[in-house]
Amino acid sequence: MSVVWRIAIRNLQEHRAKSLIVGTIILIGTFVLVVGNSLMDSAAAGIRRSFIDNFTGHVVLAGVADAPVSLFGVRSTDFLNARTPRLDGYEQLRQAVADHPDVAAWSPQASDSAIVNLAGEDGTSVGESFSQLWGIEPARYREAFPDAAELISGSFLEPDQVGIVLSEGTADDLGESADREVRPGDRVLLTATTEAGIKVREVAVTGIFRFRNALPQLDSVSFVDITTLRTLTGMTVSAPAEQILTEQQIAGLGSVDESDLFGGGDAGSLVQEVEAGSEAPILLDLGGREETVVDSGAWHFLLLKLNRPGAAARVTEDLERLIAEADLNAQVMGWVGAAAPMSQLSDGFKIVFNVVIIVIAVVAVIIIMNTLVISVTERISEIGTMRAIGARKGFVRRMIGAETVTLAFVFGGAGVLLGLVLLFILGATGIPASNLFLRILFGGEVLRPEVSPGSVGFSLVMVAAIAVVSSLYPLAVALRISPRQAMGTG
Amino acid sequence: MPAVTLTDVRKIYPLGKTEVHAVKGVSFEIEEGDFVSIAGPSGSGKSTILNLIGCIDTPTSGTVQVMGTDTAGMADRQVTELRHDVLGFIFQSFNLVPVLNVAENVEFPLLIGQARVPKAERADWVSYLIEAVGLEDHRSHRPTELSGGQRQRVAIARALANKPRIVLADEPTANLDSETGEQIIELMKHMNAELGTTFVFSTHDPAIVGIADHIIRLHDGLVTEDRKSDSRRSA
Repeated sequence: MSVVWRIAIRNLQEHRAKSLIVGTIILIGTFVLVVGNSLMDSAAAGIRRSFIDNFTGHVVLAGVADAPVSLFGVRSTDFLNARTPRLDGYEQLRQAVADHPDVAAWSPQASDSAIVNLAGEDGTSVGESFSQLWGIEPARYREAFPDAAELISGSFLEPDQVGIVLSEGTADDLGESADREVRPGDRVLLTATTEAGIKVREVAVTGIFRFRNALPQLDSVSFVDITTLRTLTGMTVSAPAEQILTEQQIAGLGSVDESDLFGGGDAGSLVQEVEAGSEAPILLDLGGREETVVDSGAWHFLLLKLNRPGAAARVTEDLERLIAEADLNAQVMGWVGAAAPMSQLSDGFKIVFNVVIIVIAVVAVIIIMNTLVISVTERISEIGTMRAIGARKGFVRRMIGAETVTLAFVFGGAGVLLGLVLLFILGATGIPASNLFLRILFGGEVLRPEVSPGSVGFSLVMVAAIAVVSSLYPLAVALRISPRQAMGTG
Repeated sequence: MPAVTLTDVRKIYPLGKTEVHAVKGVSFEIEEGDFVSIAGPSGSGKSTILNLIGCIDTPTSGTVQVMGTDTAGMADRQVTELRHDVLGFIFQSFNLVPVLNVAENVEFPLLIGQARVPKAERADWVSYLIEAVGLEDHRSHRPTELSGGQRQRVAIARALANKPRIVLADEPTANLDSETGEQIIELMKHMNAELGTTFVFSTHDPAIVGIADHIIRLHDGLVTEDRKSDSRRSA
């Protein structure tokens, strides 16, 4: 062993208390970094898997708006007027997607939100809840996301069936406010606002479901047939008036005046005039113009599941090229953008975690630096003697460096090992998400953390950086020690 | 060529708003192989002169030549090399590396220089020095396990490890009882005779001053006596 390392190691042994203080800080820091980052990475992977498998797919095509678009709508400060944009050139894009070799499945989707009331037997409405509505093609959706939804009762939507599959959260909420259980076969009123005004539609509940491994925010997402959703969200095209209004519709509209709309009347009173189970399910279209019909080709999104996740970049590139060539007002996004802001939670937590780590690192640097400075000050005579008898500054630098590296290696290594042991134990037992916060953070009910080599590497680099930064000032102090300080005065 | 030449050397230390004139124009020569005592009361400038010869300090004016080399204006690296290759140091507080044992302390200067001494040669030389200072039974002892006299013997062996031309000893007996102090000076004199190394030591102990064959007496920063003994003159 070289004399530098011999002196460094023996000095650390000699000054046990200081070595232990510095070492313990390094050990705890490394341990927290390894465990924390691995947990974050595992949670992020869980959220990613959960999102892609259950409701976003790998790649999503969407329309373009002034603000960011996601499956939950447009994230705008003017949320009352922000409308999810239609996917421009849907047919062309659908064809390209269907022909793309890397696309395993695809599903079109439209999105809106609505107030949900339970239609009473006497035509009145009872209870109230809120639901995010996703309009889908049932067959396509089940092909793309076969394991996403778990039916609790009733059945999923069949192709061309009009109806709604209520989320468990919405059904519970609605049942609670209506003071009775919501069951398949019940009819609900969906009230939504469009650019042109309020739309109300009555549909039958075909089933009640919940997402598997889903985040709490998805508790309010219900599936509805696309025609109903298009009506509610105002996806219409111009058409002769006589093509869209039946006598019953006219009768229904005729029973409403402006005072009912804005004078404090509730949805229940508005629909009283319409016979329950009506053949014409459009109960109220306060803003709709008579010269419009539902646009049967309108969608907001096209969700793509790929053969392999690695193909996302290539598929994105191909679709972006097509969009540019065809001059379509559309965009390609990944799962994070499609599920925003929920998908960004893990990133948010990671940022918070890293900010905390940076604060801890700064504190650690200060404590380690002070301890090392004290250690150097106590050895002024020793270092001065070394310089006097011919040790170069480089020797002093190597000696202090060797002490720092030894501390970082031994205690940092111990921190990594302890972290790995804990991660293996947690990986085997799993960490149950006992509350809402943890469910969001874990991306599911249980987190089984995996050792992330990147986290271990990052932790070691971070610890090495802390050790180096901490030793810079003590080293400067050591290098300023003059041989004169080893001599006597006469 | 003299081992050391000081020509009109002055050293002024700032002390707050005033100045301390530690050395006020000192000139002398030390021949190679001399056993020199720089004597004088406390504050007379002994340590300052040793620091100037040892390139640990620089003169305010005048020149200091060590083995013919003017030490003025040398870079830190050159000064460090000069201290390592040409000079050896003995301190009044021994200043051994506390975490190294006797053998390792003696070997230390051989490990920090530019020249690589073969391991076997190094081991033989270290053993010779340890035996020469009478510590062969204490090779593995740490400094804290040794008496003051033993520690100073280790320091002498360490100072000689690099086979320097000049050994500077600043009050080497200051922390020792008089009997041990005399033994240390005798040991230094023995090594001076055995190896031909120039020894320059400072002391204010009149009993020890007489052992030297070249006495430079200082008072208040000035040389008051520069005398070589008859034995030295006849040598």
